[in-house]
Amino acid sequence: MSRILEVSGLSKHMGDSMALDGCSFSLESGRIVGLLGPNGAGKSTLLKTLAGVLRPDQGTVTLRGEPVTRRLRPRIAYMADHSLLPGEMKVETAVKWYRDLFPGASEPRLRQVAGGLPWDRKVSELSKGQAERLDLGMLLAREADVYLLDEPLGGVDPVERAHILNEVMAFLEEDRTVLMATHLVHDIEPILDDVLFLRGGRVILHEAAEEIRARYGRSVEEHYMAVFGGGTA
Amino acid sequence: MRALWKCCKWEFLQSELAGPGGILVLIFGLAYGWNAARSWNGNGVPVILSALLVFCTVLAVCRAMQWPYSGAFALERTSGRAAWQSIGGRVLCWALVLAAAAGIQQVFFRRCMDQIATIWPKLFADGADRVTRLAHWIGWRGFLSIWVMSLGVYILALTIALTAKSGVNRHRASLARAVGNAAAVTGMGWCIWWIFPLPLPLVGAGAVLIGLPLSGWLLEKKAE
Amino acid sequence: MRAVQFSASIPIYLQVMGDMKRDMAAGALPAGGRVDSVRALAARYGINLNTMQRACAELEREGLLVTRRGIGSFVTEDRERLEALREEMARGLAQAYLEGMAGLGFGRAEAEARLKREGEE
Repeated sequence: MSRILEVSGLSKHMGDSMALDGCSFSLESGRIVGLLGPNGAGKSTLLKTLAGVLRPDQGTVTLRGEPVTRRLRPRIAYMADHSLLPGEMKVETAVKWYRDLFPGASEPRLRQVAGGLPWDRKVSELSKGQAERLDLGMLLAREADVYLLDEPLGGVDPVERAHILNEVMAFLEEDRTVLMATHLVHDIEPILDDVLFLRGGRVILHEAAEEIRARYGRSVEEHYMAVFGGGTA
Repeated sequence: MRALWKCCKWEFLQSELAGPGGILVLIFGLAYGWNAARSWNGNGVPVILSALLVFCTVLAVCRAMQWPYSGAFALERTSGRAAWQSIGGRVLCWALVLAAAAGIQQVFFRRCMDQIATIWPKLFADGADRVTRLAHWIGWRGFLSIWVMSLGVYILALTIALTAKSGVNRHRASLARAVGNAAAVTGMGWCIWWIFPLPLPLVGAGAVLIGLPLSGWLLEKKAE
Repeated sequence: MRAVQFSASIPIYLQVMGDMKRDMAAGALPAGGRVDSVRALAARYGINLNTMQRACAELEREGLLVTRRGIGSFVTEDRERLEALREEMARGLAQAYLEGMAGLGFGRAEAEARLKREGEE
């Protein structure tokens, strides 16, 4: 297992406050990492900064030891908490547009994941679950080193959620890394390797999920409650 | 280079021009303009004949202003696409569209000139003057001037939209604010032009030559 | 699809190991029989691949699983080892029962008697 993503001293102002404040951590390849924290902790900001949507004020991000420049950008795949696809496009057109933007996406995989979706319908007319499936499917069809997911399960019913999680599991190869920000800790517990707790724009905990279970004798969700609940941890 | 062409292609496909609505407008505009060129004579004729060009310019400006606020913009920034290809593709698309519209306008003007040359001196006291002024805009020089002016408007809109996304308050930037900025800049520009009336084609060329590299730089280095 | 619900408060790899051990002791995973790939197992249990790999690695360390490079994973053919596993699990169950009963306040003799009664019904 090697360090695939190293983040050091990442800082970002948003107006008057520091959304990210010297955020540092590293991810190992082939791990599914949950990014957890209360609202306003900086989860979305962190993912957007890693993806290149936002520019950090300070700090470095390296991928396999190299600083992330424009050339390496496509190796970090990002999915926002809402669909970034042009709403007026039909699903079929949107897929083509996405492929033109990210040439590495595999066509058979795209078709496989988006298979159950209505090709002719506009993106803005899809249900939340369908839009998630489309976004996620296109994301996972790409060849990238790190996959960043911002609240991929939000607002989706349990059946669809289980389906999406299965898809995440099925598509991950040995050396792919996923960093997933979510509030639904309970749902993703079984598939998490590691967890990152974020508060006030910095990492306050980075541990293996099994380590938390073994050491504290409680689930990640319970540990989260203990750490962020305001009581004694 | 491929990315530039793809940008151009998708900009066209995503604008309203590519759909059935666009084709309808084109046909209607052409028919209306042709009819006007053959049968109308009044003062408002040049305006009517320019309708297609005005429509395309307004469309281009709308596309430019909403682009940095769209999800597609954010997604494109994660793709590692070069700024010059992103900007270049879009500018190429609209340069071609506006050139076509300006070309059509030229055709209509030429068609109309004979009638205008005979009728305006009879309609207006300074009729002959007006005819000369209009004739000034016809021909290769006129075409290029008008094309550069409309392209300049587009690039100006693009630059303003990107500026709003690059400044100190960029995280609070919104389309509404950008439109406000554009209105302010237009107002200021108008005042300045009133004081120092440079020829409009020069202003347009200036907007293109300054705005193009500026928007490229903003997209590459500053915009979020 | 196995409907095993894992408690998230206990290391999942331990629970998976327990489940597989039960299958081995009961014969559902027969001696010398082939075991699915780690990926297939992870998918079936609905858990993380790395966690599944750890469970299998531990089972191998305990001598219950044998991996032959290029061929696959198999339950050990060592019947004595499997018998020992059955013994171990039976003892565990018995101890759990006795501890539970003691916790309820039942004496040892009462616990044994109840067990006999339950068995006869």
